[in-house]
Amino acid sequence: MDLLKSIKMQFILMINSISFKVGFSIVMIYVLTSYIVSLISNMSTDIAFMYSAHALFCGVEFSKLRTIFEVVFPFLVVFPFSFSYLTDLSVKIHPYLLGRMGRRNYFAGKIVTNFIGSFIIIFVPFCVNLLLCYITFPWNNNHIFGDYNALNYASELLGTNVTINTVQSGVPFLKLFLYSPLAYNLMYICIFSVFSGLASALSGIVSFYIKNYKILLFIPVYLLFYIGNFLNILSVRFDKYINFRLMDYIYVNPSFGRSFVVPLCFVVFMLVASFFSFRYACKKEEL
Amino acid sequence: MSIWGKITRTISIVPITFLFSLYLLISDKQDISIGSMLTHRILGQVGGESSKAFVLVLSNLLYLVLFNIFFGNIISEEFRFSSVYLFSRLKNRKVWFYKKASEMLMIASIYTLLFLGSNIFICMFCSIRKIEINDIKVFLVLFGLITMILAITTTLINLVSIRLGSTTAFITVYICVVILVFISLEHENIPFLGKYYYTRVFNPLSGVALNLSENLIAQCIILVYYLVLITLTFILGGNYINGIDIALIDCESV
Repeated sequence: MDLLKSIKMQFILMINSISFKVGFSIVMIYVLTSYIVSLISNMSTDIAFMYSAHALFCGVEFSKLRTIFEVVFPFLVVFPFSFSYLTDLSVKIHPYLLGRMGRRNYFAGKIVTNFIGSFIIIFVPFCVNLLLCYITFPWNNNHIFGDYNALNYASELLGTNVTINTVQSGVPFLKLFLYSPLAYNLMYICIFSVFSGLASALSGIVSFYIKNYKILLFIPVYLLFYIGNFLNILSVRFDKYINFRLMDYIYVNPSFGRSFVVPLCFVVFMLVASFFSFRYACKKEEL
Repeated sequence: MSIWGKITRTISIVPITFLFSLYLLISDKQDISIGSMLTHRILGQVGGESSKAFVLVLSNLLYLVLFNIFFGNIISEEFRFSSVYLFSRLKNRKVWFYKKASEMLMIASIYTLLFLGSNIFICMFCSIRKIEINDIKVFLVLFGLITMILAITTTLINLVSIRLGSTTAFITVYICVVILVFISLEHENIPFLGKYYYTRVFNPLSGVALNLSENLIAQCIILVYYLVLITLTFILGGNYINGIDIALIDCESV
């Protein structure tokens, strides 16, 4: 119960903080701009040739502003609550909070709130974009994966057009995509939000190890993405190509080589790091 | 920040550059000039043969991001914690800011020198050719350009940081940088301006848009443009520092 109280208190603190508002506003501006860009680019297009609503959603790889968001994303996930521990230290409030809710509840609450905060800043704006796209654009079969029922469509979905040796090809969760592209997009929003939450928790636990220089908290998640891109370049030399680009796992796209081991390793790493950092932080405050 | 902190952060770019170039070091040697290899390692090429242009690319901004993060609060932090003590003794706040901004410029130049030096070393290792006079020219142009970009962006982060906190300042300036880089990459698709090749020059992050060694006059204009930009940043920053109320310190957004 104390943990729930701690999470509730820190959650209220988070949604009133300027960093959460900044992060949320940036993502909201991005999704609305992306929607407007889609509107403008389809202004004089015949409705029969217009892409389907699910293809114009901003969580799809071919979204026009995606490259901008992709490079800003590693910094955005840090915003909601990762700085909170350092803020508590700088305003000297943490002894009172620790005394009130206990060390374990305080730090566990921080990790959980970090996750929830970053989950929200992605989930809500992306759902708004999806809703706007489905209200505005037609629900036809003009897919990004090729001409409907044509040979290129089937080969893209099944991955038979991939000519290199790789661990995976074709669109993942194909049955769901064929059953409902809307449900498919919603599932990817959830994956994106969970990933964002985990990345935020990572920067949150790094904050337990430093005492000042909040700005340094931007480095871990950015480096994680950069290392992923770097490993992806190296991976071309392996016998079997594995896609290490983390962004490819959280966007709707037809890229190949996506192994479930990569996100699994990330989740396991996060759980282990969270556990040890939690213990470290509790022990540090004991002294 | 202590002097050792500054030195460590400045030097850190060398191992990072080598670490992320491992795949090049284990590759076969290539028959490409060192200057060309260096340019393609740092910049991206856009446009066809007639309108060839080198611009900064979004996927290769690590050196810029790290510098911005490492030194994005060096001036603002001192301002927050020592301003009352300092400015009650100093006659002119502007002079203090000019000194700090010049120090930033100096750190940026050393950082760039180390970054480009490491890259030159990697290129020398990966190329079968030797350094020529043209390669040194490319090195100098890149040195000037990157130093200016690093100094301007980081000084801006520090200035915004005094008002909004280091994190918000960083993300604000970074988003501006990303948008400017995106515009320089998509320049040809901009409705009216896209037709005019030379309008690229007005984008501060597309300063090397013109061919590095083929258009001397344009390069001179860009050099003057960057000098004007950095002078403006210094002067406006000095005026901004002069007008800030030093009695109110917001510890929450440090």
